[in-house]
Amino acid sequence: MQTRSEPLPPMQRVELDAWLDAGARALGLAIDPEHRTSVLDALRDAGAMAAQLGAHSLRPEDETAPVFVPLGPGAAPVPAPRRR
Amino acid sequence: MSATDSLLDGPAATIAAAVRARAVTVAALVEASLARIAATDPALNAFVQVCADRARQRAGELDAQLLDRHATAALLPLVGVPFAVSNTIDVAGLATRAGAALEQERAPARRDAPVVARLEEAGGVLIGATNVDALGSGATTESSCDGPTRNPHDLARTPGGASGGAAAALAGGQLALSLASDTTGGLRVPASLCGVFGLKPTYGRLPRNGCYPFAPGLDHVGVLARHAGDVALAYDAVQGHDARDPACAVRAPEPTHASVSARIETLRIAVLGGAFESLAGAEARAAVALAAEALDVRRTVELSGTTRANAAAGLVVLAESAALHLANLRSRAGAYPAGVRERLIAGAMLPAAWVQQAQRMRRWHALRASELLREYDILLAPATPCVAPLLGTASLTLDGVEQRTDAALSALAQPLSFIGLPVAVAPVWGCHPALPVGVQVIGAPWREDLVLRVVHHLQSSGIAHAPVASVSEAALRAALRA
Repeated sequence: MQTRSEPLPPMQRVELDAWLDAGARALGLAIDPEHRTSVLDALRDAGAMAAQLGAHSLRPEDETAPVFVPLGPGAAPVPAPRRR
Repeated sequence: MSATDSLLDGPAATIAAAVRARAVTVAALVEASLARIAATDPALNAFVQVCADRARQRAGELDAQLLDRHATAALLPLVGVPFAVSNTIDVAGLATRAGAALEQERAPARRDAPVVARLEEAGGVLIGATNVDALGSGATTESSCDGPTRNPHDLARTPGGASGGAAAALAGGQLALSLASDTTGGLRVPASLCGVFGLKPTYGRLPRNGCYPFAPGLDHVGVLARHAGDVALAYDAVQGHDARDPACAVRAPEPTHASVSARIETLRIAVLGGAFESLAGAEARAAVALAAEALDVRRTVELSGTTRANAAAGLVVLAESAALHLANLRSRAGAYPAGVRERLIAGAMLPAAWVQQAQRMRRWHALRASELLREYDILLAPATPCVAPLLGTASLTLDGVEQRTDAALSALAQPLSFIGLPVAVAPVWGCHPALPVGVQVIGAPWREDLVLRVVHHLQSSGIAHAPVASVSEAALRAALRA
């Protein structure tokens, strides 16, 4: 499994615009035109963070930090008794 | 200054001892704390809600119990000690607003968070809730809808954040203990900039149910105080499993106070270099050097991948916080503070592959730290890259790169909460003409006892201390005019 990739070049404004529009539609978010530039800046910053990770080798056996723990019957909250 | 006022400036342990010896009543301590708040908070803005009635009622109950010489109240470790909690932590009857305009209509909490209830069971007296950055997101306490908190040591400067009010209340002498949240440095940054001691325990050590979530995978709750021993006392009081917090570890309490003054000569200690050095300014590096000298530490080691871990932490925080707010972002985006709103929207749009890679990097980074902690019991690093910036500072330059002030102030704290290690902050003075800067004392998971022992040693050796700021009348008037 290939886990290392060359860092991608920073996204161009037109690409960030397309990402924002598609993401907003998929998530049902209405982006106020006044907020648009700042959201694009935040997406660009997030892309820069992701680029730092992409340049690092991770092996297939490098699992994610959160590990699911199965829950037994004692884990569920006991429902409050119904009022009559 | 009255004897009660002097007592309020001293250690929580001394306050409790005076109450136990009937040298002061809890009622007098509560009134002294409320009077300090009334005198200084118009300038500091550390508090968002004061629960005077609750505090007076609790004081009356404790004083009545203490009239009986055999009362168990006299045995409580923090009997009569006034404390506050960040307004991200539930207090029965108060609204947990987390500094956010969109939470202004939130109903009052129906019960205390477990950490609040436990501190009161240990004898503490809750005075109120302190200011935080909006939604717990920020590092300056300037984005709060309740207005900015000011640093008691220089009213023109930030106290740090997100839990800036909790640290400012201590540095301003308003009370003796605070509880606060820490996701990417929310407790440690204010401890550093306000010059108080703090402990962010191991991830999963303290129950966070009843606490306003920001990024649950990194959210912690911890303790602030002006004395290292008080941090240990309060931390011991709030330990214990609570199954209602899915991250809370099933571990019995492991008390620290009894061993906080134990010798440290056998501990293997090193300074963290690499990014922890290159991102720090001269004053922060000098603070670490002073601490290292006091601890006779000569080794510098590197935690590899710290810069990448910071980037990974940023992605995880963005994704987790966005998921919490997605419904509100659809219907009430206008109610979010500028800056936070845009980052949350961007966080909702991150490709899943990025977030998964960030979570894989998190484990990789934790394993690198594990390797270091096999060789060393304690690691030292600056808590913030600099002393408190002026309020309104938009950006800081770290190692030649300009960053948002919030991100810059958290840059040395975030990589450590990302991997959940216990970190205590020791406030070091003398590296700047008038301001403190904190040193992070980092341990292996579940070794809060060792990090507290080291900060206690730094306080005993005079390297670290947490003086009450002298907030002059003139400074108060000037701040109020501004």
